[in-house]
Amino acid sequence: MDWRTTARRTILDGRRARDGAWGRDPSGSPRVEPTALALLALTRDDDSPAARSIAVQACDWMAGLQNPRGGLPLSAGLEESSWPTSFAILSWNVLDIHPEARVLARGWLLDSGSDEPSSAGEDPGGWPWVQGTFTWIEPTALALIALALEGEERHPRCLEAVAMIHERALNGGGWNAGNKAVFGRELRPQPTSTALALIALAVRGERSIVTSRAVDYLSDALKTIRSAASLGWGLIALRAWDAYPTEADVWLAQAHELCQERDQSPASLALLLLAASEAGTRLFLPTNSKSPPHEPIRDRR
Amino acid sequence: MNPVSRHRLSRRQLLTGMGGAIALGAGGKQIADWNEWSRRADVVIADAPGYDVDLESVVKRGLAELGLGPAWVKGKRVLLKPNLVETSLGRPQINTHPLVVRAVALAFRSWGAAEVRVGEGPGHCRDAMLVVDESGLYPILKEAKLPFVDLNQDEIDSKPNRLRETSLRRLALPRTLVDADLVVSLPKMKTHHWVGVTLSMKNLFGAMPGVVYGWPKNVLHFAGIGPSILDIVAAVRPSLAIVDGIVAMEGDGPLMGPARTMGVLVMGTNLPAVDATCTRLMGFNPWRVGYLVAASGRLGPIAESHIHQRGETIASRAQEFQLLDHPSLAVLKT
Repeated sequence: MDWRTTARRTILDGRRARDGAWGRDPSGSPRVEPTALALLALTRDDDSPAARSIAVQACDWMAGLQNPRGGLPLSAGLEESSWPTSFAILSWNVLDIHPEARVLARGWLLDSGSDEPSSAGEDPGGWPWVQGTFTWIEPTALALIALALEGEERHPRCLEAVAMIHERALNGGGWNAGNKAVFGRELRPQPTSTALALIALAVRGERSIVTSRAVDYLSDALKTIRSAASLGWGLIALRAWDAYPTEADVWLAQAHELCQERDQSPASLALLLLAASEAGTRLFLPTNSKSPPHEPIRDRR
Repeated sequence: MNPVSRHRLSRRQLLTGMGGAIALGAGGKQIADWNEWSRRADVVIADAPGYDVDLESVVKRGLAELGLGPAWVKGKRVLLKPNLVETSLGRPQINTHPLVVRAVALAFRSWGAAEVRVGEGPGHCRDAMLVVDESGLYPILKEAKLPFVDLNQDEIDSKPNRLRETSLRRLALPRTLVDADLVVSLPKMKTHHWVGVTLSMKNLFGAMPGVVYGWPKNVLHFAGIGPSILDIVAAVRPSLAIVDGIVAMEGDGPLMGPARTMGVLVMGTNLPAVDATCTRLMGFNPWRVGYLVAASGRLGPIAESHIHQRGETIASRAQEFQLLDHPSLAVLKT
């Protein structure tokens, strides 16, 4: 059996009957990130009513988590809104549902941020994992991807975030999780941070020395990486920059085999499925957005 | 639950304002020394010249020196918490060596542990399995049939923050850790450019769930690294520490520094005492490490006279570790 069929089946088996959402593993409590990735993987190239029904139920579960101000917590029972909000926006946008929830979530994300002043006393731009802490590459990239799908890519906060990502690019190519250097010493690039930054920048599609070096780093790094999350995000990024490796199908099958012996998490399997198809990459880019045109949210800072 | 402290700190302040992390004067030593008068702990420095020796036997002998054996382990659920920070192909000084993890796991199993698991929540890399792969741990886990838990993504339990060194009222902890009968901190012996040294206490930062605290446990950095270390140790209440000091890291730790061969495993049931001993082995003064001074008396002893040193002596195994050239770190050697 093709690994994609097995992965899809495993994801479906891991869905919780009660709320139609996914946890870190089949026995875990449902969370926003694995739910978003699973529903995106299941609907990426399946527009059947059955697939949509499953995805809609998962989106409804996320909408039920939304706080009055628009943000989403990690899962039910936790109050504080944080980084999972970007995944909810992404899911609702791709399915083109919950318009009011999307507006609220977009507003929350655009209002939320860091308490970190730069050396010049200015907001350095970007988003933190948790409201009020430092800004990092991955939550910034996730917010940019979600907001671009919603048509907010020209919002001043998004423009600042793009500048922040460029500023933190490593000279040798790619991105570390946060800073470019500590005590003057350049840090090492990380595959997932680099992949998410590249996907966020692919929204604008402007090639530069920064994006070229990052694509080169990632193309080289993925040759030996078979852990699902890094390989999945990495291949989505390379496809977004027309650098999808010819060996990718073999790598994905190997990663799936590894998942079967150690990591059957829906999020990992979903990332492999998303990376395996052109449609999977398109979900993260605004050209695919089904969002109707709307009045962009003004900068309320 | 609101785990976020509202202390306003910039990255630069965190990097350069390390006065809070590095202890200041001898006055502090006297006060803490007095406070820990009733505290005593045993620490074993075990000779382990390389990763190719019979480490399981070294671990068992060391634990026996501490009075620990099958009766202590039998029927217990054990969680081993190594230090897996970042991908590190070809850099054995960054992460706890897989053969140390294996040796400890086999020792506990042979003494009748009901279950031995390995858990880590890497600080910088969200893909824990990538770190497991690139640290070389995965083949060991597979061969020894050791389950691995990504503590960043585990189910969450919440506990009151009983020490309150930080302003956090509650601490979110991975359920696997809460459910374990014995939590064993298995750090690497390393310098740390923000807090001086990273050993068995700081290693427990990696036990905190990234899904709640962000990466690299940023909420805890905001709340203060030193105070957070104390709160975490008090909440987790680890049973044992075994420090991988066979190949250590000096200089720009915990990621970028060069290797330093020490050839020791350092073990003890009291984490401040173990870390104070390791700090001395690295050629530093534990009374200059802020979080160790703060732990003195409350979580354990750090005074040399209060630690019963077994196995190798500090004098025979201590080396002069290099430090990053920064004024706030130079005090460690005074």
